[in-house]
Amino acid sequence: MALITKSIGTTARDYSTITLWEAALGGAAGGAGNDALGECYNDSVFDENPVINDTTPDSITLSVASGERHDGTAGSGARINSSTVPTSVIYGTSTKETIVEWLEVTAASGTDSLSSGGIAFSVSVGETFTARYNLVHDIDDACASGIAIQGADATNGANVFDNIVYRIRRTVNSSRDKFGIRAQTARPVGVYNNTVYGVAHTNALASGNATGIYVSDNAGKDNRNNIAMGTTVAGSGAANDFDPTSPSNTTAGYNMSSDATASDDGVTDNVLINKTSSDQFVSIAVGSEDLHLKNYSDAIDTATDLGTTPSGVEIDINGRDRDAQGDTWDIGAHEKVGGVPPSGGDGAGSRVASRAGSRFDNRFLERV
Amino acid sequence: MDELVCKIGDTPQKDGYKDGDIIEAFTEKRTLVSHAETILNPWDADKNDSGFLDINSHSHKMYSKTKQYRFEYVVDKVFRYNQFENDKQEDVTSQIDIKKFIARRIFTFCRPGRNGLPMFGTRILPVWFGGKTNWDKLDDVWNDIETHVGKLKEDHKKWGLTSNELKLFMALPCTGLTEEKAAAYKEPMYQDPSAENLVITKKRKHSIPRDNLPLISAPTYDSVLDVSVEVDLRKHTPYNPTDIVVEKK
Repeated sequence: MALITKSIGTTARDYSTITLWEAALGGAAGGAGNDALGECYNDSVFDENPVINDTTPDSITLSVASGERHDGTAGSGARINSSTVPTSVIYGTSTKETIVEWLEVTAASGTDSLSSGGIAFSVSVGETFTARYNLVHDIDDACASGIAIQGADATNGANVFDNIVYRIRRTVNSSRDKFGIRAQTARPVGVYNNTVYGVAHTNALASGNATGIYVSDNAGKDNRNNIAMGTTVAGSGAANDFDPTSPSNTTAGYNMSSDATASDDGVTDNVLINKTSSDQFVSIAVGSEDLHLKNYSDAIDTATDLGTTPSGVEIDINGRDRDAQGDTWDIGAHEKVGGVPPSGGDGAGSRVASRAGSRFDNRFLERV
Repeated sequence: MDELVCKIGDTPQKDGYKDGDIIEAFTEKRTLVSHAETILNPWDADKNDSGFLDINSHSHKMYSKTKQYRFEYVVDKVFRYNQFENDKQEDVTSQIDIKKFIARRIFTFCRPGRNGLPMFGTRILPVWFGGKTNWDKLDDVWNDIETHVGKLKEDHKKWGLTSNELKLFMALPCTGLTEEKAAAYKEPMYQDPSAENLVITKKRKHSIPRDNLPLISAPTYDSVLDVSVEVDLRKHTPYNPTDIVVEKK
């Protein structure tokens, strides 16, 4: 078994589009018994809707090369901006382990779609699916969700962690719901350390609901350390940052919302509710969103330490290893280095993190 | 020139690509956009003393013509200009922790690497862009490239297929391909397209059978089938897609 790494981009790479790389997974880009890794480069914007369903390699990872990744804000690294979205921007339905990571994903407006998402996995027959470290934003009517896990069956389920998702909207008069992250499957799904902001139904005539994070209530599901805020509807539907129904089977807690819905199973607890969005993030200005935490954010040092399970959950949206650095975990996708916690906190965890952090972090991010 | 890229040979997977399936469909517009973005890539451009790009840089010209919003920080105020609506101005100062925002941009864009939100101007008067992208002014962007960069639009109408792709796939020239048609050609066939959970039955709904390519001679087509050899058929007379593309039942 070998790792087959191929570059994807428009400046003398192995493949010029993700779709063409995926079409070669059966041979040159992967092959039986191998692990396939496609590394996107920030040469030009990928305008496509790749479907990943090849079953030849043992595993398939769609990633972005180091030094070419987004910095948590739009337009800062390798990205897919789909100008036409028939179903999803990225649709994964392989029976092999599939990982989508470090990509910025956005799309032009489309028709009022029922299914899919900016990144959607159908776990009808599959192995483990993982969406991590992605920046999914500005997806209007073309997709139902920013990130979607759907389907009735899966061997090992799916994980969605350390993603930033914002401005996922329906703008048309629709009775269909809209989600930032949606896990609608009976199989195990872990939703950890995501930051979701600004899921909306913007049409005053619409009756559909808007939900920041929705995790259907099943045993084996886990919904912790997530931020969902700023969910709105202009019409008659309901706006909830999290599914307002208290789960009885899903593990849920250590979540934060701007309304009263931060998901809590009644045992895990430690939820933060009714917090003000503008107090949490560096920028919520439309077109220049930066959902990194700012000083005094309520999310600082208030998450539970998940260790290193599932694999990679300890890495934040900036690539910082919370586990190796000994950080006290923050809620959401960003681990604030040198962050000042809310009034009343002692900030011990953050100070430890600050000392352990890189010189660049200290110089550029703490002094200003 | 528009292009269709097809699969050579069947994959064993039932819902995988079959011989002749259209994998990619490139309109000339998409090709020109991709080349323009590659040529004007802000991460490859020279930076000024601030570590930013100059206001009159080529990338700035491109963003000024294609991005929805331009942001300017002037004397403790952050203004957002909607470039799609005659530079309509809004004060968004209260929505941004500007010092943190700029610090992170310096941390990412100004260091070596090809990422970070592109920043223009100076650290005292920074400018950046955001929002949606619109390529209605693609011709203007190419005018700038031809005038200031010295690359010709005419030389950039072919998609930059790689050596691997020219070996593994068959690229055909065509004309009259619209964005909508190109998107439709790349769609899979679903068990129930209206279902919430989409199940793929065939990887592509559209293909090009060999018999529909009378302009390509038998010896040439034989070399196409040899996936160890690069073959570029795009010098052939362009096809009309409606003459060669078949929709599967």
